[in-house]
Amino acid sequence: MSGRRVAVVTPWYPDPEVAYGGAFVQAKVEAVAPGCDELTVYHLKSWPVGTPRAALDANPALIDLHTRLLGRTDAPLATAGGAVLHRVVTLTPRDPAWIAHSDASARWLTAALRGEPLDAPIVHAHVPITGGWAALENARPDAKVYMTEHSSFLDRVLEQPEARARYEEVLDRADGFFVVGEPLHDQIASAFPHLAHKLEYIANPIAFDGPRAAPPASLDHWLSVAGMTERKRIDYLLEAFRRCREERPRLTLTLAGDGKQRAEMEALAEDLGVAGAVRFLGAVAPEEVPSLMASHDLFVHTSRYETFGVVVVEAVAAGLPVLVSRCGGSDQVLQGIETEAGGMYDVDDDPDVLVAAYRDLCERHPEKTDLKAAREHLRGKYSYATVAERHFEIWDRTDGGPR
Amino acid sequence: MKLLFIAPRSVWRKALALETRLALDEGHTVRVVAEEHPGLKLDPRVEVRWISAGELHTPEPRLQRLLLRRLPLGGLRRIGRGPLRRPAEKVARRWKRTVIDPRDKDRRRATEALRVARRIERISAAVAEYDADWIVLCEPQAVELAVDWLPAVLDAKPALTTTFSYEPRAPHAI
Repeated sequence: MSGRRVAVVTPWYPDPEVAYGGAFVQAKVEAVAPGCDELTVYHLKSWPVGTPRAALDANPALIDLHTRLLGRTDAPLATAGGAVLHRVVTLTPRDPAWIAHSDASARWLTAALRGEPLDAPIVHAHVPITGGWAALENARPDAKVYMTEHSSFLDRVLEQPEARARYEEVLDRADGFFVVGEPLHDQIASAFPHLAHKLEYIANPIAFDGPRAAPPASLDHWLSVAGMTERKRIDYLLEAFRRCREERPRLTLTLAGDGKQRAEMEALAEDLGVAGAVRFLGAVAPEEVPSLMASHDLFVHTSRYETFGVVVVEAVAAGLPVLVSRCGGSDQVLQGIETEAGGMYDVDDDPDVLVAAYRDLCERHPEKTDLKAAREHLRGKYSYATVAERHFEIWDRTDGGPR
Repeated sequence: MKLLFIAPRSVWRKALALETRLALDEGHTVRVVAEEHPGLKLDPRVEVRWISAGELHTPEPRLQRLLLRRLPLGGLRRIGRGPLRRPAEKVARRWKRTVIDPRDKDRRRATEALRVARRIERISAAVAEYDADWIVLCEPQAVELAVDWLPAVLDAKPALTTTFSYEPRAPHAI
């Protein structure tokens, strides 16, 4: 018996519709649940309602009904690691103001708990503006409330004065405040320098089981696992791939991920004349990613900005060389093992930057890369056991940690 | 148990297909009231009542279509074939913005009102006809529309189970 009773409050968690949404929160639950006597997840699942920009209270009958429904619906679900999951349907206004989403998160968690506080002495929330505020407003007075920031949209939150003030309050009230990478640390520290001392790092856990038996001999079959959004720069990848393929016609590229730009990217592949060598897989379930990685030779990441770099660690964990843009989170992940793991290149609009990085890696691999060493290095930082221990060290602190 | 899944817009089709199949596999009888969509692949064992709100439209009155859309825009197109192309296009854009777009917006609003009324009618009929033990409100509009019928049902059937999904239950807390 560890004595740990933990409530996790999160706006992101996989569900039957989007199996990969918030998969890293589920991974954390899976990592820490075996070390807890009780772990309950409250997934504040956002359901947008009403007309655009209308306040939630514009429809009192809806508020009354939903309060009644949450109060009478008690459906604990099974989730990772033997933990219990409550889906808390969080009606949110169609409003870009983050303060409205923050308020809605706290309100509906209160309704789901029927006004009682979260029955746990340790509460760990994800995404402070929504999950963090809901946790603080619903934790019992003696509970320690910790939170982790992962958001790639934090700049938009902090540019709204009310949301910024709320964020500052959350940061101030939290017993521990964690970020998954340097970009977020720097962003929050510069916004709230008087509270920068509260910021600490915590990693997302990655499964390190089942790497490929031997490193790939050639680097012909490329893989990208990324949403089809502007930030991921799939258009850049396609153009760089086309240029590399002029030199090596046997190259193939697999794109796992979906998004608003998918049709556009499929059309671009046609226009570039590489459609025959490019596979669009669409969204891939998290459990399918390791086998996908094992069947390719090179993981290519072209993102403009990342707060962490889960997929990069997953690739190294699968024994795959990586070619990664210096997009923030990934720099930190590969710090010190850049050449062992593959290579990195600057975020630049010129596809020749990636082409040059690929040529360089082809010259070095496999003699001058060391995937095994890179993998062991990352295992020491991001394995389930390591990340679980880090959580336990935080939760078991008697001094409350940094202030 | 008799489960009724309500998905007025069928927005989360993958979840609807998975959850209804799970309920069937666990021995429940399942009926779905939903909007038909080519991407919605339900188990053949599911009984379905389609809402068919998408087939409803508020038509544009013929006279209005002729006088406000076809004649002026057709005329401007004709004028635009000659040297007055730019001013004709400019006038056409302004005409669309100030005359046609507001009317289209009104028609869209009227169409949506028709569809909402259809959704409420079909859902209420399905609820009355099926006498479910368990209602699954699958998506945001299921809750928004339930304001019109669910409170009375809950008053009449306090034992009715209501959830927002059908997923594997926790066997026990760790």
